[in-house]
Amino acid sequence: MSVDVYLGLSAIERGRAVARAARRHVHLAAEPFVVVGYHLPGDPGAPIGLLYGTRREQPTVIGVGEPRDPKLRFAQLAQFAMALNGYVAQFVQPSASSRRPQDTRVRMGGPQLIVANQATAQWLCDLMGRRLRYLRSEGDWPVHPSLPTAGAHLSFFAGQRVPGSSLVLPLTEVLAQHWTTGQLAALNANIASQLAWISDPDSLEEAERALPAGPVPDPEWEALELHDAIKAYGKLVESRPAQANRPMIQAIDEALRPSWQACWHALDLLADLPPAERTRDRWSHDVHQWNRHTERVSAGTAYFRKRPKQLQVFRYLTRLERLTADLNREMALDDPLIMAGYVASGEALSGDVVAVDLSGRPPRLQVRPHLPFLRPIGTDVFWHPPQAADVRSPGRPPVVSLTMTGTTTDGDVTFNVTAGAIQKKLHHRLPRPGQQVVFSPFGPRDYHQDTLPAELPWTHADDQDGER
Amino acid sequence: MIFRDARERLVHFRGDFPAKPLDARRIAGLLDAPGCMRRQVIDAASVPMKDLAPLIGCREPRQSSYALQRGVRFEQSVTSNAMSFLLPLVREQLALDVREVREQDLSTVQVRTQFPDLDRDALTDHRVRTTRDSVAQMLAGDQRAINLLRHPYLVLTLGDMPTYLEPDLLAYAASGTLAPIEIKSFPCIDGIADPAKTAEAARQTAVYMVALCRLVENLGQPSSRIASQGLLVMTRDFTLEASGSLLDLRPQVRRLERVLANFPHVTQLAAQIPTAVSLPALPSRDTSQTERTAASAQAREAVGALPMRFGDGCTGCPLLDFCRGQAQREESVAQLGTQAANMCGDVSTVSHALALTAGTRTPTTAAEKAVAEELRRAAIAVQLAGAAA
Repeated sequence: MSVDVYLGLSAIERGRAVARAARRHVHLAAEPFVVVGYHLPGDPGAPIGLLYGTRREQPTVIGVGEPRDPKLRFAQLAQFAMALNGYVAQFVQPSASSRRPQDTRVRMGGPQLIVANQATAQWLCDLMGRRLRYLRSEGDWPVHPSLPTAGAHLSFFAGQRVPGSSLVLPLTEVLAQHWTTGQLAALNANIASQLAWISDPDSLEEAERALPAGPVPDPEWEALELHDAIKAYGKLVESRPAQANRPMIQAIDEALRPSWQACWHALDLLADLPPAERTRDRWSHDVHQWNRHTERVSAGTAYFRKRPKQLQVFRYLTRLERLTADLNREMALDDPLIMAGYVASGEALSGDVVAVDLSGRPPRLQVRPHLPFLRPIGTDVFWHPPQAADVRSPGRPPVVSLTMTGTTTDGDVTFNVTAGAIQKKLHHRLPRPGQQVVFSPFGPRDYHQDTLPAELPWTHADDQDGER
Repeated sequence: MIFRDARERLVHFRGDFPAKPLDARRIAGLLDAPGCMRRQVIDAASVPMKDLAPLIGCREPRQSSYALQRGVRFEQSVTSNAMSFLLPLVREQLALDVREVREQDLSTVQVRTQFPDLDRDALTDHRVRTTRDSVAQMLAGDQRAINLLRHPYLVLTLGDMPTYLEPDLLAYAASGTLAPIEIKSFPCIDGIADPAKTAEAARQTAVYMVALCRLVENLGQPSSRIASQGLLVMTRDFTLEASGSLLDLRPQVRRLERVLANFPHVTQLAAQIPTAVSLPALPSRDTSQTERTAASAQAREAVGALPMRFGDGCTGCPLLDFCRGQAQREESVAQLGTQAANMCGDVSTVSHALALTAGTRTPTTAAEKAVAEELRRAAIAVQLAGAAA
């Protein structure tokens, strides 16, 4: 979009990132659970160590002295699992009563997992969740019972990594949503360099040399520090087993502590932004999903499919499309800087109201646009009046629909009201002459049932002769 | 000096720098190289990136030793024990009716133990010849022919040097088709593997397939004797067990054939290759510091003289640091990525673009007018938003 390019140019000129959003479009929990970690390159099932916790001054550090040893691995991960389970337990309803009013449940809140980047989110939630949830605490290779439970929770988080959800926040993605830097988008995946652009441009060179925030470590670090720590473990495990993990814990702490601090710094920057209004409803929906999950876990029916069937895939894609469209709409309506993108592209109209004609039916408006509005006659636009919602329908803010009827010789645009303010008692919703308005292509929220077509499209059809 | 041929220009450009033929990964990388002249000339001149990049100040790309170790372990476990883990995959996925395994190992290590006296060139020749003979035998329907050939050596002529390619395995059964097998150690979890890595493996295997096609044609056999699908062997879930998947390589092979047919765009590149500069000799351990600095400066000048196209694809290239520095010094709009560069077109510097936006510079061409218009709209929209926020 031209606004992205323009802001990028400004960022290069200033030598500093510029704001891409005027509001914060994610919910920030009062007490999030932050995780940074490494795994052996090429082997996502072999974590090397993690820093995690809810307080920035006191991360818990675990290290697996020999990452290729499964028994040691699961013994160390059990600590992480217990911490994660303990954290999410505070958001579980004491009794699974669906008769409890919605408000109390939302006030109890929901868990929030914070990671540095998308790759860590995928590793931790999708892959580690998948690895842990099928482990058994009895049988041939028993593990600590906290592990399969943590796996179930992580798998739940994996399924919620969708547009608009704040249950899992990969910080580099969230920062890129709210600030535009002057570098290639792919380079923003380095959280240290992104933060340098946003708050400390002089430290940019240093930030680029920083160790990665995970989940894959730097090959030099791997060849030196990791190798030494594994050797030290090998030496100590026989003579002093209690100390054997210490070298690895120290190596992990040194390597990942800067990224840990970076995550908290990013959270501080985001907390300084005023929250967007519709974030609250999206978070309520997140909490609702969380509550459904905990009910299933306590009933023992939390089931995750390994490989979704075609119908599920189709449903999932439809859900993603709907969530993306909804999120774009909500972000634009909440945030003038996001709406600016649509104004620049000509899909939305920003202007001053010149005249309001209430004599006829339907009412008519004449608007002087700030930028030439080049849409054809018959274009539908919508006006969201910035007043308190109607008492009668508290969940549904009023929306006025307008249709473009023509342009005057001065370049003003004329509209007819088509819905939402035709009746005389609703005329107060219309803007006054002299008022600055933005008419957008975003109408009232669609509340369709998710309908499936009679036949799945060919891209999702089941192969008769087995999987492709 | 008058240059008759672009090949001469390439050789002159390479100067005293060592030449190293491309391998399958770099050839597959030709499919990625987004029309960047700099990459094309360096690839066409067979200049090893691994040595050039650190000389001009780029971070040295280093591979993870643990990942490599794991890869080697996996490959060994798959091909050991008379291929007991590989056979079920070959039978099932490639539908090759391999009853008993008659394998031959043509890897350098193996051949060296058989012929310890051969020097490097003779070794290469031997491997190429044996591969050719084995494949000929296979295709002729010889009952005693090999059906699993390990580390065969194929030749592909590109630019001015023959490139030697070494696929992991070639599989064949009496009535079937010849299929390449690649063993990679990234995981396939519940039947799903990382799409980026799978795509890279597919492109690499396609290169082998192209070389195979050339060999088979050379032997006078129709190219239908080669399977259109290759087998990719990966680790299953989180273990080191083998799991296989077929890769349909026809689209990649077609694209590669097209790119290779035009490689190295000899006549098109010719004008771009600068004649006044050339690469220095690669500094060795004994070179003095002053010589090293001089070599670095010469290399930077030579590479800098090649036109580049900076964009989103550059993050995968070893020369990123060098080209990014150049883009920053030139204040190029491409620093923001391919989308921004495409939108601004001829308006290639940040200050030019911003001056057009602010109106301090009047557009002269129609393209400049369009860019100015679009950016000005964006600027006004942002300003209005700022007032409203």
